[in-house]
Amino acid sequence: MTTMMMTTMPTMPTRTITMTKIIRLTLASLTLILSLTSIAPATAYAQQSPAAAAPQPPAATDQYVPMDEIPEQDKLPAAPYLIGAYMVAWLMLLFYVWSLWRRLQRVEEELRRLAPGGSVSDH
Amino acid sequence: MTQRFFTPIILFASFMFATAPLLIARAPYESTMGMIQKIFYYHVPSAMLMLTSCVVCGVASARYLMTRQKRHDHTAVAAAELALIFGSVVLITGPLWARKAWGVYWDWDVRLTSTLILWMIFAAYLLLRRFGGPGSDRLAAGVAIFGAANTPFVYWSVNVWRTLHPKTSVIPTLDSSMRPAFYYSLFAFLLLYMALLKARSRLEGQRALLDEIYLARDDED
Repeated sequence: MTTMMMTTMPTMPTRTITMTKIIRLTLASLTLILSLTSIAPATAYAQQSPAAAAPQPPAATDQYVPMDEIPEQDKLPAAPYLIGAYMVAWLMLLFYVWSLWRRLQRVEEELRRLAPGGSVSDH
Repeated sequence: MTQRFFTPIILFASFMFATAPLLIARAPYESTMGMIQKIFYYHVPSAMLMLTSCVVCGVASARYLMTRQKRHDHTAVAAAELALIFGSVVLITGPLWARKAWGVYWDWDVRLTSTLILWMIFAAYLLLRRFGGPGSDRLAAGVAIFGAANTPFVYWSVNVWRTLHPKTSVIPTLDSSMRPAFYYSLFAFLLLYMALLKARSRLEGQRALLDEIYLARDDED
């Protein structure tokens, strides 16, 4: 029975693949980068000066009012939206890399369990 | 792209992502929008990769229908998933930018609406692959080709209809002081995209191999 199974199964090279290790390394790198990235909008916010934020105002159109012409009480703070956007982008990409790593790991483990040589093939 | 190139690419992409915020922080503020315009450095590359991924998925699906080679189908599935991921980044960062710049999170203008529809087409593609049963790969390939055919309209829509969204001329006319941060960020996103596309295609290939093994075992029993 085992011999029959081995003869009918697809052939697999014996080279061991370290894809899950690479993905794990990537995940660790991205986590580090996420923490660094979260500092960047805060740095940008700290750099913002009234002179830099409000240079020469362009002519107003019927569709758009330049930010520096809006009354102060109507202005929304930019930092929460900027930081929120960066965090969302990073968390989504991190989550995706993590999920990809989990799925790859699971499939490769199953292949290793089923494969005769205990290795998975390169695709 | 072989395994040999995969590791350097992913490490280089990680390095670029780590250093991109430094360039972004140094880039000048846009005169009318101020600090919130810095979302641009993530929003636009994500949008470019979403559209690229839709085209990749469509082309791979067309090649799959013509040749019936499974590797094209694996690329198509990987590209569809990445189109959804980068599309989600676009559809979340965009409204956050819009809230500050336009005063509203969402406006049913042509660029926003067509992007949402494109995202939904590729969500439908993945749902079809997941729950469609046998033969859904060919049906999904048709959906992918339809989605890819929509991509030029999404890109060009801002030049045809009157819209709140900036036109396609923004990138060519970008201020020279903003270009380094933008292109650096774009290249980092592109490298990450290539690495993820390769890894996801590989996952699909391994799953197909697993199915073959189980089928072979069933035949023996």
